[in-house]
Amino acid sequence: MIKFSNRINEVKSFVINNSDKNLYWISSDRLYYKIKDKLSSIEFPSSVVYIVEGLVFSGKNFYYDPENNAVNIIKDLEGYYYTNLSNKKIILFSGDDLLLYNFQTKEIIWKHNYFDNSNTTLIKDNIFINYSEDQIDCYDFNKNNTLWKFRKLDISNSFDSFFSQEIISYKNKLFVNLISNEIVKNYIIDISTGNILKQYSGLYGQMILEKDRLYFLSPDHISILNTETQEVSTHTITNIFDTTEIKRLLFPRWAIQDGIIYFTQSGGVDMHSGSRGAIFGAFDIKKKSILWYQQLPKGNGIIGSIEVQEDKIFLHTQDKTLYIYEKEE
Amino acid sequence: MDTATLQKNSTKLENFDATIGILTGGNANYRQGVHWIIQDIGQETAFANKTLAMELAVENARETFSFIDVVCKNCSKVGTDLLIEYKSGPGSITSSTIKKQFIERDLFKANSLDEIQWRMKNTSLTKDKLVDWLTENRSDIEKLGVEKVKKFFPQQAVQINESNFVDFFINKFKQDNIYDKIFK
Repeated sequence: MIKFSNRINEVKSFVINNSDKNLYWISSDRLYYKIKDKLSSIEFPSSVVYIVEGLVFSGKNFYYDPENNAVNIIKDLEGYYYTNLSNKKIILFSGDDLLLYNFQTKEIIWKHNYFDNSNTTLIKDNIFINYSEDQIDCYDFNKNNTLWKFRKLDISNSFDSFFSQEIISYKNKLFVNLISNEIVKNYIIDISTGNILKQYSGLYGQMILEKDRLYFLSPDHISILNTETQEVSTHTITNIFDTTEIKRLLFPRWAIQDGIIYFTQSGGVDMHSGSRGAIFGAFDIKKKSILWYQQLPKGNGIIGSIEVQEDKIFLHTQDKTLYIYEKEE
Repeated sequence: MDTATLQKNSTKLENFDATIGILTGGNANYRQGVHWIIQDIGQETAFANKTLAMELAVENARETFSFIDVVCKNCSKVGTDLLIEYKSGPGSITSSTIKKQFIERDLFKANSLDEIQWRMKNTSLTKDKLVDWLTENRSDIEKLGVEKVKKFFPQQAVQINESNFVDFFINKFKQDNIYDKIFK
């Protein structure tokens, strides 16, 4: 099953770097990490940390380079902030306006005012996918023009309908959801053309892509869309949890690895007034069974995020504690 | 699990027995709170045909009953659960309530502002007072982090950054439409 490995207090933000398999975390304006099993830290005045092409980025214009064990500042980007949007070496920053920085050539390759009434959500090759509740659009930043728009009123008669903020891209497809009168409609869109490739109805919940499977996770149902065959399977999960002390999941956080679904339970949990400690666990959707679950101490409160990386499970709690568990054979 | 059904609008109430038990208890403020919950649930059409789960919450520092958590299942705008906090009477919301229950609990728990609602009766909370208390507790908003505030305002996420996210969040609550969406 799993065993407790470590707990770290006062963690503002953490990230796992796939390149060097290292855990990085921020505490008191310092970035912490291990080099050859020895804990090191370096000044890092940022509250947040991201991975971009193996580099450990701040929310500002500086990053830590693990190869050189140094923090580097991109002086050209003074006053700009990393947006957490990148694609390979192309990174989006925001400040007085938006700009794209090519990390390989060390050049600003594009600069533009903010888009009116929409938000850049994805970068892919030479395009942005921009989101608003009324419209999804595709913008070519090399040519500075909009390639296509997907408007809610093109597919819905209801002015109250809206696009949900969750958008996923995979290969050349975009997965978006329109909610109209409490009914969710799901669309697969061809990124090159904006054309609808396929439409579904009723897939709802947090979307997580794992390999070629797109999961829609909610406390009642889990739907799995096979992005290759475009087949969908839906599983009711309330009965799996109802028979245990976990009961129905409330405000869960999710992670998926190798088809195993990791969950957290916030019901009755709060660091000030909780009646129990937060529960986390794993279940096998094919077998429809909970594989294991454990409970954190009550004082740590709600689990704000869960990450699973190979044989480790990371839990970040309401009181800013980072718990690390290891999977056992 | 105990389930009761309000005949008027077919609202299902889970664990209602625990809540109703407060009506026979000695604390007048809590009894008043439960009356407000029952009245509101019976009248609010948005809860028709929905299931509400109720849970007594105990503030650790006080070790006595302090409030009832209500979750309306699948009731948010996007079909996720809605966290409802009932407050009644003057003094039921203070700067400390905003810190512990709104910022540190509800905002931490929710993935969207559509998942939080505070339903109030005679609390005397105003938009200006809330903004003052958010400002007083800005270090707790800071702890929520920039990525969380981006989630709350997805249409402007790219403009929200490490240096402006706390002020951005507080300023949003100066707008009637944002305040009214949560505090009813």
